[in-house]
Amino acid sequence: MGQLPLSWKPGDAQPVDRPKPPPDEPLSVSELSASIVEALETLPSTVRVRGEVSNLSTRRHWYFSLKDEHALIGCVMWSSRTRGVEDPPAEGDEVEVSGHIAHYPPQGRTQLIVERIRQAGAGALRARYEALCAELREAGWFESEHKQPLPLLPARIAVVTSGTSAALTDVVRTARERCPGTALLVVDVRVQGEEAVSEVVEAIRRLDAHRATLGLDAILVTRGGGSPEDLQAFNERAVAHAVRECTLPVVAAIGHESDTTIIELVADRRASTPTQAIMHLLPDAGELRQQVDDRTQRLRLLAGQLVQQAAQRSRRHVEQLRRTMSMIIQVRRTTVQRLATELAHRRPDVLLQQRRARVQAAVQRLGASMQRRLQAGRVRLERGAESLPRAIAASQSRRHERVQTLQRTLQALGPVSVLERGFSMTTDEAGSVVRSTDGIEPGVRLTTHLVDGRIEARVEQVEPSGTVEP
Amino acid sequence: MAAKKSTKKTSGTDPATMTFEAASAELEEILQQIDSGELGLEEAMVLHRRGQVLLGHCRSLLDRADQELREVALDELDSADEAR
Repeated sequence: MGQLPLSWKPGDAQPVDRPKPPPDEPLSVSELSASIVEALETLPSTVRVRGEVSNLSTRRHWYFSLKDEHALIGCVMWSSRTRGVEDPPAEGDEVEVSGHIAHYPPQGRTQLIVERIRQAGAGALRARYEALCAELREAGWFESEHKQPLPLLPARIAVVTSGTSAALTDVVRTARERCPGTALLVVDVRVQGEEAVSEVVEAIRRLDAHRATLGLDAILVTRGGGSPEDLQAFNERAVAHAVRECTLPVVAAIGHESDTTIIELVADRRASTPTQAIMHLLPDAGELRQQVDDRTQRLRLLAGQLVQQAAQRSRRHVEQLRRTMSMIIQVRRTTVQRLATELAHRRPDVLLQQRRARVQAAVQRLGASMQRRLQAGRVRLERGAESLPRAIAASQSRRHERVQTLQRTLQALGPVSVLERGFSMTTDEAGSVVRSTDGIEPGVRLTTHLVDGRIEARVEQVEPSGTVEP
Repeated sequence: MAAKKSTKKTSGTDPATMTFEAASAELEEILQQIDSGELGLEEAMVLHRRGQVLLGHCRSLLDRADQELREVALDELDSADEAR
């Protein structure tokens, strides 16, 4: 490196198809120039050169010289190329450039047309690394909030690495051991040198773009250990960008454990070795099975508990409902009990009893009333009985007097006095006074009452005629 | 003591079709009527008979409700057994 793969002396390589001038004739300048141009065309199209920058002019196109202790060559980098350069070189910088040699006959100048330039010194590399690191950290690219979670059990992982590396062998072996079910898609890229950056970037971009068709779940970018220069591709901004923009989770394991490249800082997960990296991505199948078993067991237990709790709750609710209903019924039962008691108090036989009692009472009242009346009567009677004899005596004497008066009157008017005066009275056998001859027939017994006695006589003859003389 | 006849002074509704509340309300009414003392013995007896029927109906409603609750509890036991 840093040396032209060229051992060329002017006039040494003459184009074969050109008409050779006579040996003794000198060449014209143009001829010599043309020869130089032709000779340069036989060189490899691209050369990589390392050297120190001097006489730098960066107005539009960059003009500078590359030199080492013994040589110097002019360089030009057209503005169309300088635009992509991340860290422009400064006077005295150790750089690595790539491009092609061209000879410019009008000025007789042979120079390197630079296509790419990058810092090459170890110190410079370090400085570049630190600057980019600081910038990206400042921009928050390393923050965990930008990190994507890794898939739990990826179906397919793309491994971006050198197809012949030990790193790939490690990754494949570990993957087979841990999780044979996961497919690996190996993308063979150069992992160091000039083309590494573009190949890695390209690989990441295309894998991400076709993630669905490829059925990818993650990307693993890895390479084994090497010098800082070897790992330089993974410290490039372009690579960091590609990882940052990648929608698939990216795991990066570059170099040895002590190396930390920028791709590892930007990646969703970094690992110290390729083996570690694939272990991050793949679960251990046996462990996984154990986990599933454990969780199944726990789930079953939990479900059982839930069912039991639900059953208990539902039992409690039913019990509560039943108690409430029982209470409602109990309240009504009390009401019915009261109604029953009250109705029983109004039983017809009770009513009857009441009525009977009332009748009894009436009877008693009646009896008492009669008794009272009787008593009153008795009192009255007794009182009467006391005055009765007197009254009777009085009335008797009154009657007596009256009778005597009447007797006297009667005597005056009566038959006796009549009889005394000589008249008599005849009665029939029935005692009736005979006032007429009617019905009197001979043989009938008659009694004739006289003042001093009577005469029993039998009728001899009846002569109804004139009146009896007084 | 189940007289089925209903006469004046009672609602006349068939007790078997009455709700608990209606039956107990009529019972209260009957008690009041009997209490008023304005009834003849025969009327009182008719009301009393009606009251007995209503009372029986109320009790049977409560017994039925009790029975249903017990059945629910039994069902609960059954389903708990099934769950096991």
